[in-house]
Amino acid sequence: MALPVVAAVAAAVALSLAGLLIAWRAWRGGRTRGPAAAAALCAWAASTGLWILAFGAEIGIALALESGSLLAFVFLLTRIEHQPPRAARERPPAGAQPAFPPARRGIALAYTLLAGPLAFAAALSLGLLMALEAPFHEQTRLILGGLAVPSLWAGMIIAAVALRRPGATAMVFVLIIGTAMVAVLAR
Amino acid sequence: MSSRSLISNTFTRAMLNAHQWLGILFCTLVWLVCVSGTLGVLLDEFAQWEAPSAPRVEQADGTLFAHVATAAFAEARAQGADHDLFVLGPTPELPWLRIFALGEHEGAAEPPHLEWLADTGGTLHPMPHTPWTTFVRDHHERLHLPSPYGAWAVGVVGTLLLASLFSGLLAHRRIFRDAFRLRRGGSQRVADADLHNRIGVWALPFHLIVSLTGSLLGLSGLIVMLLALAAYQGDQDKAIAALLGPQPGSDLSAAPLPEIAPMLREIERLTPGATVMNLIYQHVGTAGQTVSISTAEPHHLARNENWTFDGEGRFLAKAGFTDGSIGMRIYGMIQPLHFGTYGGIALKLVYVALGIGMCIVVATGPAMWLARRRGQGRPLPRTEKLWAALVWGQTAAYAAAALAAIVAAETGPALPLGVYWAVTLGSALASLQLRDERQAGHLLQSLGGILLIALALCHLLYWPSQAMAGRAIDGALLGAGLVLLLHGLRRLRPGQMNNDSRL
Repeated sequence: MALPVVAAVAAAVALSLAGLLIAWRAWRGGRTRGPAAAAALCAWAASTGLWILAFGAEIGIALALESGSLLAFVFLLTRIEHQPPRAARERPPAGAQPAFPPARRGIALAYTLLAGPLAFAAALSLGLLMALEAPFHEQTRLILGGLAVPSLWAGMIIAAVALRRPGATAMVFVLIIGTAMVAVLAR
Repeated sequence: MSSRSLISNTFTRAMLNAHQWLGILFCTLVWLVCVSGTLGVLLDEFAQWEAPSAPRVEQADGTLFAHVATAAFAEARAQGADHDLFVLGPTPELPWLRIFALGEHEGAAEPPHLEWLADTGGTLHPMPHTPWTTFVRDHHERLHLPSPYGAWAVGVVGTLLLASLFSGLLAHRRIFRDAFRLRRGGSQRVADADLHNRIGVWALPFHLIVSLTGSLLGLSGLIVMLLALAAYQGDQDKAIAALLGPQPGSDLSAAPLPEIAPMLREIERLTPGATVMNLIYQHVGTAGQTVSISTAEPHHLARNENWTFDGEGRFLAKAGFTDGSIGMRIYGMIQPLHFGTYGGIALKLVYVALGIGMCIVVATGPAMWLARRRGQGRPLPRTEKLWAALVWGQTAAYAAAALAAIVAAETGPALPLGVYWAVTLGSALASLQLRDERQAGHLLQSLGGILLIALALCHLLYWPSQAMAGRAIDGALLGAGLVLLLHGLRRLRPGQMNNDSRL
C-alpha cells in the first residue's frame, strides 16, 4: 500500500472516530441535535471523502460504511455502563409449556400465505413493472427491476404482519399483481 | 417538532409487533445462516487450513492458463464432463489455480463434475479434500438442500432478515436518546436489549448490505426466470442474453479449443496491463463455444471485468462491470459486497467482526422476548433451553464437525454434516434435561471451548509445518477455545449461577 493511501486511511479512521467522539459527547450532554450533530456529520462526511480519495468511489463508500460500523461497535464496547448486579428473583417453577392453540394455527397459515407467496408475487410484479417501464437502458431496467424485488418483498412482509388487516392487504397485493399483468398483456 | 410526535405510537407498536413475530418465527433459520455466513467470509483461508499441502500458485500468466485449460479439457472429454470448463486463477487470499469441468445436465441427475488444482508447471492434481469448508459453504449457500431450492431458501431467509431490519429500525423510538447506552451487569434482559439495539443500529449499513445482497444472490435465479417468463414470454435465454451479454451458440459439432494468446492481446490492446484472473469456456470444444476471460480490476468493487470471445477467437463483448450500464455495475458489486472480498484479509476480518455483531443481534432478539415472557409470569422454559442450546451449541457443532473431518482424512462433506447435526440436535435434546437455559448455555460454552482447543491441537499435530494462514487460524481457535472454556466454567460455579439475573 502506497504511503499516501496509508496516510489517507489513517486520517479517515481518525475523522470517523472524531465524529463518534463528538456525537458521544453531545449525547452525554443531552444534545443530539444542533451544532454538535452537524459537526459529527461533517467529520463522517470528510472521512468518507478520504476513503473515496484513497480507493475510488465504489470501494471507498463501502469501506467508509464498514469501517464506521466497526469503529462504532468497538467504541460502544469501551463505553459500557457497569451496573450493580440485581438480586436474583425467585424463578417460577418450570411447569409445562403451553402448546400453540389450534385456533391460531389457521391465522398463522393465512398470514404465512399473505406475507409469503402473495407478497412475493406482488413484489415481483412491481419489479416486473420496473423492468418493463422504467426509463433506463434495457439491461439496467432488468437488473434494477430484479434487484428491487427482495427489498419490496421485505416491505410487503412488514406491511402484511404489521397492518393486521389481512383482507385489505391481500386486496392491495392482488391489485398490484393485476396491474402488472395488464402491463405485460398490453405490450 | 420532536421525533416522538413525528411517529405515532400505533405505528411503532405495529412495527414492533411485526419485528417481534418475524424474529420469533424465523430466528432459527436466520441464526443458522448468519453463523455460517460469518464463518463463510474466511472460506478461502479455511480451505488452505484444511489442505495445507495443496500446490500453491502465487501468480498465473496467460500461457499457464491456456496450458492448464488444454490439459483439463482432454481429461474432461475422456470422462464425459466436457460441457463447460472453468479455470479460476489464484488470488492473494487463495493462491490456488483451480479447474472445474462440468458435464451436461441430463434429467434430474447432477451433471458429471471434475475438479483439479494445477501447480506452477501446469500439472493437474486432484482437488484436495476440504470436506469441512465444503460443508460450511453448502450450509450457507443452500442449507444442504438440492439446487436451486436451497439457494432460494437462503434468499428467503435474507429477505426475512431484511424485513426484520426495516421493522426493527422503524420500531426504534429511542434511536438517538439511547444511541450510546450499553448497560451490563444489572438485569440480563436490559443488557441484551442494549446490545441488540446498539449493534443493530450502529452496524446497520453492514447488516443491510449483507442481507440485501444475500437475498439477491439467493433469489436472483428465481427472479430472472420469472421476469423472463413475463417480460420475454418465457424465453429465459433471451433474458440472460439481455442481462449478461452473448451466450454460447447451439452448434454442438466438435471444434478445437481456440487460441488464448490472440484474445489476451486484444484485451491488452483495450486495457493495457490487465491481469487474467479466470478463464471460462461454455459449450467447450464445440463450434458454438464461447470463452470468457476475467481480468483483475482492483480499483472497482466488482473486482473483475469480463471479456467474451467466440469459438474462433473473435471479440464479442465486454460485460461492463466497471464501465458499463449502471445496472451492470451494480450487478457486478453484489458478490464482493456480500462476501467482503474487495479489501484483502483486513476487510475480511472486519466482516467477521461485524458478522459476529450480527449474530449477537439475532441471538439476543428471541432471548429478550423469552425473558420478557418470564418477567410477565408466562415463561416458556423448554423454548428458553432450546434457544440457549441452539445459540451456544453452534461453536461445539462446527468444531466437532471440523475435528471429525480432520481425523477421518479423505472424507466427503457428509461426515462433517452428520456430526454438525448430531451435535446441534444432541445439545438441544440434552438441554431439555438441564435445570435452566443458563446452565445449558454455560455447559455448551465449555464444551465448545474444549472442542476448539482440541481442534487446534489436532490440526497442529497433523500439520506441524504450514502456511501463515493455517497457523493464524490455529492460534485464533486456541485463543477462542480458552476464552469460551474459562467463561463457561467460571459461570458454572454454583455461587456465580445464583448471581445471574435474567429479569
